[in-house]
Amino acid sequence: MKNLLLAAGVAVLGLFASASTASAQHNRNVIGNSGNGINNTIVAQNRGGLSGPFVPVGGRNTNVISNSGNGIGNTIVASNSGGGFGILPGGCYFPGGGYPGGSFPGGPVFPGGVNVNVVTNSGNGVGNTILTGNSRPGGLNINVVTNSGNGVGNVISTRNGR
Amino acid sequence: MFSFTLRAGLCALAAVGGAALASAQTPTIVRTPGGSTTVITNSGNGVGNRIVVSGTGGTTIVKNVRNGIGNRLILDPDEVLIDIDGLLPQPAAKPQAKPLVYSGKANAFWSKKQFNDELDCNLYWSDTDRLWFRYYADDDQYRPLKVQPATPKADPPAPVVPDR
Repeated sequence: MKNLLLAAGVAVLGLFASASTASAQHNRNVIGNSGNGINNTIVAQNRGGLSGPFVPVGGRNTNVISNSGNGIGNTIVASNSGGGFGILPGGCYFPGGGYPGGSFPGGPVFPGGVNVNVVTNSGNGVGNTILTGNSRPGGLNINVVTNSGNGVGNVISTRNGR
Repeated sequence: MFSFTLRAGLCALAAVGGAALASAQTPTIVRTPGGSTTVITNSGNGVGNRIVVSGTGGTTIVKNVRNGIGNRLILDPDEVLIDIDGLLPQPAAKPQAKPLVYSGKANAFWSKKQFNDELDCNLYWSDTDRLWFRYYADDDQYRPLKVQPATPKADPPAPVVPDR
């Protein structure tokens, strides 16, 4: 049984009034108990849209994959990619924009947003591949892999790009 | 001519509007480098698994990974690795049980004595340890046999003699 499960949250950003709203949004893919078996592919992706030179975008991007892709030859992809701006709670450069909050002077600023991939209890078995990546410039990029890729010949690859 | 003027005016208006908007919305961005963190726990254990962490010099935290045979953790040279297992104190080694011996030939630890033809010596049964022991005169100690003979059968109850 070969399945392809694709979850994509695409943040398409406008240049004007929608900027702060769009940037504050939380793009989230949650996949559980899926793609177990043989040769399944799971793709969870949050892609940033085009960002203007002065518009903060990015926000929070989260992929959570649990209890999935266990078996033989399965592939799990969790990715937050694209450019943009965001801000952590407590950030200070664009009140109301980016990550919700933004009113705590002195907080760190992460122009690339907060990007998190969590893969848990997945990709266990034989010859499974787990790929997690955050390629948002200047973002706070976090990959968490737990209880996964156990077995024989599995590959866990995580990447945080600049 | 009119259309050209109108078009030029619109362009100018757009430019001015854009500039005004730009100045109004341009935030003062204090750029700090993005942070990247990778946490991998209880993963990549087994046989021939591979964990690859690449990126731009972030922090990688691992715990209970790559146990087994031929598993690898491949880390970008710029990454800072924090191996929790290496930081935690290792559990204290279990104290090894003292070898079970009884010293002194006169030690009365045994409850049964039985001659063994194969070993050509007496064996001594300890009810406490449920083991057969042999006496070694060299060091004056009773030590359990590595290969234990059969457990002795319980003594049959004494026959009840009816009253006359």
